Amino acid sequence: MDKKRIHWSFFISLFSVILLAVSALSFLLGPSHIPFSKIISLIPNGKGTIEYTILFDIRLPRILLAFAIGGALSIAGVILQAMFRNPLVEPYTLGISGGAALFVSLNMVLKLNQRFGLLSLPTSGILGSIAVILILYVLSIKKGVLKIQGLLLTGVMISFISSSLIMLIMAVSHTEDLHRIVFWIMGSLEEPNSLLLKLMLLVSFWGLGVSYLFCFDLNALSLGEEEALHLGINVERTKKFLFLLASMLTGFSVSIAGIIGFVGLFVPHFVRMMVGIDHRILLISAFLCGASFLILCDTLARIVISPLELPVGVITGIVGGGVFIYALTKRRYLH
Amino acid sequence: MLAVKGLTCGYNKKFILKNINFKLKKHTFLGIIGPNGSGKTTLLKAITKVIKPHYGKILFEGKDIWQMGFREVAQKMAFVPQAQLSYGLDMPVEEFVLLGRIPYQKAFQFLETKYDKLRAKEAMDLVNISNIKDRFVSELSGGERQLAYLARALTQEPKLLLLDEPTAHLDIAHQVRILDLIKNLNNSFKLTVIIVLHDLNLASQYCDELILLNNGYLYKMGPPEEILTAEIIEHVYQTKVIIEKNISPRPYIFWVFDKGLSS
Repeated sequence: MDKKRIHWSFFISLFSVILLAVSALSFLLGPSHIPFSKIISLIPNGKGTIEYTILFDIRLPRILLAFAIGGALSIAGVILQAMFRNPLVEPYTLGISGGAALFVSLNMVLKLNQRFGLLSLPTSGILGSIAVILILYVLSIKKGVLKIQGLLLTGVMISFISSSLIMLIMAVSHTEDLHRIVFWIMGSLEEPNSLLLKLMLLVSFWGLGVSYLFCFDLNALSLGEEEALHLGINVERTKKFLFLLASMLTGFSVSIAGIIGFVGLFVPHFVRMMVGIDHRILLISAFLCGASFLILCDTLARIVISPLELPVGVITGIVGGGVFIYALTKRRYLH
Repeated sequence: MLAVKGLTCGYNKKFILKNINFKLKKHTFLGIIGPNGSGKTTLLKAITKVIKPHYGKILFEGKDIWQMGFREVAQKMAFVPQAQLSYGLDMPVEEFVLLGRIPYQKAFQFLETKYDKLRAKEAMDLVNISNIKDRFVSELSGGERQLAYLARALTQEPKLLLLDEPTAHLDIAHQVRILDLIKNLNNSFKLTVIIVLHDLNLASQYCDELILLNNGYLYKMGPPEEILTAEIIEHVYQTKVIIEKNISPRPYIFWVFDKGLSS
């Protein structure tokens, strides 16, 4: 075993242990207090009781959804930061979240969700994401070349346009719609539909697996496009694929849980500080840390002012931002 | 080994290089010289598949490089860029050099093989940077960083090594060290070298053959004695020079200052 392998195994085990610990904590804590001793007896023969329902139908799905979305947003962030070689890029920079939010707001104001049921909100989110991805893709491709800087600028502009349109919608909508739009935009992991939960888990694991096919390409791309080309990477094909992969992960996350900010920006940087910039270890670490981070934030959101709930996006911003600034002052990083 | 046929290329619609033709034999140490904007770097980019020719072909060992995959090209030629900024290079020198094995990585192979590591170690020994293999590339001096790039290129096991002004911004000690090293590789490993140089005297000392570019045209190709004459340089660079023999038999160029000999 060489140094690198020991190093990597150490980090993967560390992050897995943290993930398990955070998940256990989240499972145990909540507005309705269920003591640990009772949980053990509940698992084999508690079906049908209220406690069992709380644990396995409310808390567990939330943990799984936070796991899937935290992981997905984090690897999307890692991929985009490597591709753009820009530390400020995050999954929402490209405007995909803006598109999703715009379509969802429209849906709420037009009351389409009352006519088409629960699944109509995520569906319109996905449609919005796809619309933005298509616009970005078409506008940034010139003669088969994906212009990275153009992509970034177009994405930022689409973000602005959609947030202006959302404000317009909010200005003309009724109070109860307004409230729901604001809460959706801030993000929530509440009451996931079991079909959507399975879908998100699938997308998340698939994204992690596929991103690993590109780990060397990402290492090369983070040196710059021309450098990557000299190392034998088919840069154009790789960029397009990575863009679509990151957009898909972002699109699904946003459509299912709203705009949970900061995870995709904070986690990649934080993990890079700890494990270095090799994507072979960075991707899996970011996935595990992102999952732990979002589960932790969601737990806090549930218990801080219980029985009321805070939007999880508020917690991710405060906790993540605070920890990140602290870490920056402690370690030499972005020089 | 390398044949460039009727190469015309550039960025967007603007042609930088016009109808370039030359052939390169194995084991040659070829220098590309010419004034700023004459297309030296563009020629390197065309040979390394960074930009696509509008007309013409580039054949490597008889095969059109655009018929070869990017990986295949990267296994045969390696490129050392001009001294670069260090953004994104927060990695140890050894890891950086190992990136040169990317063209050989198979799908689902996440760790380097013993052979990969051996190649990286040999390359670092060769350019004499094994003592700094654990330091971060971003913390190296310009000269050391250039050596790390050279080691990475050698780890690609290329047949053809291309360098774009590898000695720019370096002190004379590092300039000579790097060029001596490349000359050595050229001699002992039969490595073919194409190097862009601004310093005509360095080009004269180290290169077997020179290509002089002017305004995107290949002005002349030949051994330094034929290219570096006072008339040619005066014509292409619009600068008066005096040529003397160096300590070696190669020509040495002295700039003529306005207030000096010409008055």
